[in-house]
Amino acid sequence: MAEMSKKMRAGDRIDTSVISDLLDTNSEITLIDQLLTEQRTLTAVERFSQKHEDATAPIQSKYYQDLIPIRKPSTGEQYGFEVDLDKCTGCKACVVACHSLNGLKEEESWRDIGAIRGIADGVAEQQTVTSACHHCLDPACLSGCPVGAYEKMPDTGVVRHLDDQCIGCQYCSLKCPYDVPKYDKSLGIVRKCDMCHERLAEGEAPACVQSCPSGAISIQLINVEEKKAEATQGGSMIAGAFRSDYTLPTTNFRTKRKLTSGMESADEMDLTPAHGHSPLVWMLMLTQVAVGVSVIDGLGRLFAPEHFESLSQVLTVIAVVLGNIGLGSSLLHLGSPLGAWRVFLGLKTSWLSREIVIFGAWMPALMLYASLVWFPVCSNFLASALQLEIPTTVITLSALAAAGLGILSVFCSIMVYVDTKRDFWTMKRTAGRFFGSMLLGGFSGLIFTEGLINGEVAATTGVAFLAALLFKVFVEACLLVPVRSKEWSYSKKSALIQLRSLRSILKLRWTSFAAALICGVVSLYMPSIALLVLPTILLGEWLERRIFFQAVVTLKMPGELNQSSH
Amino acid sequence: MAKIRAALEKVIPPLQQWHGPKTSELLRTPGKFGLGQVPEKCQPDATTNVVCGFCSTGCGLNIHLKDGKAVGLTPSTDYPVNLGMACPKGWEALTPLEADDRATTPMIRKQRGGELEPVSWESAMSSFCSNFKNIQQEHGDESVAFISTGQIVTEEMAFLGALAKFGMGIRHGDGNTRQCMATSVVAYKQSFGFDAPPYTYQDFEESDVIVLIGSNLCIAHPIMWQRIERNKHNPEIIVVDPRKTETAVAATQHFPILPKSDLYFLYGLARVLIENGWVDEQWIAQHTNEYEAFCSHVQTFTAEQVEQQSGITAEQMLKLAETIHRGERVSFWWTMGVNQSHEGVRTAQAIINLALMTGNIGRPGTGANSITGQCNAMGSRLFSNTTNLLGGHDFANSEHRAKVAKILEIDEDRIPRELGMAYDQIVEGIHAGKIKGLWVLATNGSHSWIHQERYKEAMEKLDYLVVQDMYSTTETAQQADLILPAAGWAEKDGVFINSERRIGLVKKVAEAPAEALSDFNIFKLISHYWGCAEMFKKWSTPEATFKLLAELSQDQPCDFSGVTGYRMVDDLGGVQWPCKPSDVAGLASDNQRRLFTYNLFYHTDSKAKFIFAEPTEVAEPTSKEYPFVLLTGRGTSAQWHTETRTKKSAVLRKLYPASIYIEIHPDDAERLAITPNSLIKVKSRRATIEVTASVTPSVFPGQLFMPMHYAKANQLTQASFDPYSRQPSYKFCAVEIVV
Repeated sequence: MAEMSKKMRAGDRIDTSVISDLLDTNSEITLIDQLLTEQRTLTAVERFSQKHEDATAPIQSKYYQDLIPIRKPSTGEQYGFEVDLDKCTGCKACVVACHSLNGLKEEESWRDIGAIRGIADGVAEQQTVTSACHHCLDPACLSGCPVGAYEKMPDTGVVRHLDDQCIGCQYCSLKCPYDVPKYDKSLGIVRKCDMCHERLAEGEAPACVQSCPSGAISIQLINVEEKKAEATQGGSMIAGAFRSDYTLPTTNFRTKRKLTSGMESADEMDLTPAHGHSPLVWMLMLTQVAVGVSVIDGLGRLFAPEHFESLSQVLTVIAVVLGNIGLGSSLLHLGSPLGAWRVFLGLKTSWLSREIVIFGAWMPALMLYASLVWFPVCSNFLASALQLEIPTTVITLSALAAAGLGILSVFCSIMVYVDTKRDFWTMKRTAGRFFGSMLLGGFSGLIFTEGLINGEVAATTGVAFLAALLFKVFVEACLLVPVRSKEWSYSKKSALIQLRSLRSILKLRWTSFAAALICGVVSLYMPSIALLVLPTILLGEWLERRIFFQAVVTLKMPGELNQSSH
Repeated sequence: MAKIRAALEKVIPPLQQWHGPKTSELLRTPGKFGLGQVPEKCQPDATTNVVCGFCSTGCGLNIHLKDGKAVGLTPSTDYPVNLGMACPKGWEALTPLEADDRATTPMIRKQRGGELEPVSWESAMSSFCSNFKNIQQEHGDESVAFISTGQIVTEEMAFLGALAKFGMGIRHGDGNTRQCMATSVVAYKQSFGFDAPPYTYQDFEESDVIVLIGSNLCIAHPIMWQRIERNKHNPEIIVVDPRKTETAVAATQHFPILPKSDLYFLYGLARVLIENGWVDEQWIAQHTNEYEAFCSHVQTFTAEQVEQQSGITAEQMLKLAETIHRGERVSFWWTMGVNQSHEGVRTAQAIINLALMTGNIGRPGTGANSITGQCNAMGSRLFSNTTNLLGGHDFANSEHRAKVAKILEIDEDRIPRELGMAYDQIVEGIHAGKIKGLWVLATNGSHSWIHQERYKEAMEKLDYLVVQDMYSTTETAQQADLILPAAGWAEKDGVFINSERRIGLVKKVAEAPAEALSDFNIFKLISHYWGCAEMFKKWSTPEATFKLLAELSQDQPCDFSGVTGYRMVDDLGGVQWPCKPSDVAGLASDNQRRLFTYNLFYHTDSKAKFIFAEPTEVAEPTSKEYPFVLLTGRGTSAQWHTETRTKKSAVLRKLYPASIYIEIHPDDAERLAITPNSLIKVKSRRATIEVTASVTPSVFPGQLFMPMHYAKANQLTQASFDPYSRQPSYKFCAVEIVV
């Protein structure tokens, strides 16, 4: 027997014949089948009484009727969320109810949860913070949207997203300092809280208000002028949230406790890198190099026309090819590119709209210039009747026009990020990097072309390239300096993200600097090395731009520990 | 012209597109049945109430049905437990049923460490019976044991207990309920004469002083906290807990006693109450025993000693005693902070003593109230046939055995005369080679059992391990030789009994995947293949079984023989025991009932008993080498135990940290140069694990808190037990931080 059990432990197939023989096989199959059939029969409706069959009004209203206003907002008013922090004990039902009652995707909810903690007034405090869209008086999502997919409803103040208008550029997610609009890959658009305004219109409470066991969330009527005055005083809604004077959010976090000083978000020290946005990395870096090449070419045509006569053809090809790949990859970033023809709708307020429109003008201008440059070459093959001399001034002017539009486009690119109010993307820091890439790209293109066409690199070109390189080194080194600061800031956090979480990519980036430096210097003596300069710079700038996106601190409401690693 | 314009509009998209396929994804529509607006894509054609299958609160969930199948849910508006509210788990209760890793067919592992392979039910049953029978033949009946759960319906618990003990001759069986409320069971039995939590949830609303001991109600039982929120008497809320929990933050007074100094603290409090004459002498004399001895016992717990042991000063203690004294309706509540302790039974009894001496029992808003953990822990307390004979009877009592045998129509000799081993004894029995075969149902010991590694090793030592579960992916299932695929909550009928003794109904409103069967049907199948189906012919359906259980409860304190069937339970919104036929008439007007209204306890003299003991040292005190106390417990309200189900919901996963963390006080973190959110190593005598440091002042210096939901946590915990209840002490072990 012991042997038998040992045998079984070893995992041999068990001989079931003995037992099967003892029993009537047919009846067993019947029992199994019978039980399986019974398992699939659902009869609850027939067996039990139907409750509330005739109810017309929502029966939950007795719990929430005091939590929504009894009248609609009048002039100068709008709806706003109010959260009574002293009642919220962190059950988080609001998040899941929003998900369920609104039929959202698997992990989607328009309410988020986080926590703040610390020692306030000598007392250890921790507080869950629930937040949805703050339905701002001056919504940054709305002003940033290139296609007008946002609307601030005139009667309720609800900031509504038009799902079929959205092109999925996700710029609103960057613009919103509370990280409210969330991108859904399968739909290719962002979606966000609409305060269940259709429920409110029927006298029903929004899902989150309905579901809070403590009645901590309510809808209030907000006096717009008062809110504006309060929001512009420079404070924020709650510890860990961005200052309110940017978008004038309307949510009111109420508490009798002192939760302002000494409290911080549970994820304040979370150094998880942000989204990489690969298509944007390619787009920004390639368009900037392309613009740089075209600018250097334009300036060259102006100041050293003879020298550039022979180089222009290659330089324009570089600019057109890189520029087109860059612009093409930006399309990959859009979740719903079909609606992108509407991008002009946002021109009045959106830097992204401006960027797209001006880039849209730049490329044709660049290609026009390129075709003028290549016309003589092509015309050699054409009938002599068609051979005509294009005046140099025309070519130079078109070169300068392309360069000018290019610079303007890069300026718009800069403003797209500056306008998101992030410490890592301030004017100085963004312009330094973007214009730096432009110059460095331009001079590396020139070295490359000189090496290719002339078989030697001009000393001035080499010096200019090295100067651009050193400028870029300086700009990027400055981004790491805040790590030494004793004061906590998002600049310091970005530096820490680079040095810790993005250590390997940062190392590569600085290695590429060294490689570019070596290539640049050596190419002065060994012109064949000049061919390596442009690829090295492209690689380096790609890495820099990756860090640009990943080391930024996402502006958002207080979060939870380890939340981002889900 | 208009036609042309309309045609053009169709071809040329508008500048602003207000409608379209993406917008219609989110359209809502009036839901009827009093639901308000619901998403258009899941509009119900009927609704029905089902009691939630996570915790012991026992909320009613209104299931939205379409063609008889569940398509969504909202908390039931009028269910007397939750009054229209639910916690995140309840809202997401249907989602785990849809998970990809559901066990859909029986599976056999031919080779240890090999893959599980799907087999037919017939082969599975043959394997089950032949292996267990062979083991029993070789090593005796007692060499096969089962470990069950507080998560299945009462009818199934009873069927399991009866099938295993009466049908299969199994002697030793226990449940994961040992981990959650065994302590309260023993405490109540000894103090009151029967395992009887005396309260109704309405008491949360009636009290003017609420004392919560070792209970983080806001997170563990959010809907009970909701009932406190509804209290109109502006109550004093007192929290006794080493941590400044969410509940402590929301309380009016917090007493952060040092871990496991409960007895010093509670006896010290009793002494202050006695010394100030803040006790109800007359009531004590009439309705209790052993008070004199108790008085002299607590005299030795001087203010100095209490302060030294618990960290609570004489002044603080006086304030607390005075608050209790001033209260007209004081209720005392405890949960796992008390139960999961090396001296939990005496601690629970120290709380019961406070209620008795101040006369705070049997009246609205009072009571010594244990809040249970699992959805059907209370069902298991009465009907698992493990710690007592079906229906709260005594295995050793021949009259009880005769009664049970008669009702079930079985041979009395099939009923064992003594208790079997407790959970920890079964695990040690496996190590000692006494237990060779184990049947684990709806629990995941390889994650949850204290000193996890020893449990896992035990599973490997078994000759044969059967896991019956909804999922084939739990840590324990990964070690099994045979998997039996079980239907889950809402895929079957049955009743749960919640913390306030309310019998609530679970209904089959979703189809179980593929060949999964309800535990009830699996037991039926086993009884057939084992050859004992004849014994269970009265157990034809869950409802027939329910009626048997009602009959078994007759004349017991838990008598619910007045409950005639499922429809009655459903129509009334649950029924609390006791419910004799004579009680039924009153239920329609008052469905909130508490025990001891007439001060009659269940000891033969109808008196309650003061029980007390000297405090004992924890099994693993801190030392120079291991200077920190490790506390474990619930992390968030979106997580349930080993997360077998809650981690299946993407929206619940958003609500808690993705990986394990430990809470540490800022002073300790600074001293050890730990940056917040960085990875650190925590070491106990049993294991070293890597965790994220969550630096927060909610734990006190020298203490660490770790949520139990992550599998790593129990690698550290130390296996010590309350001697009376055999409940594991999860709330204290010594650890060190290795930076």
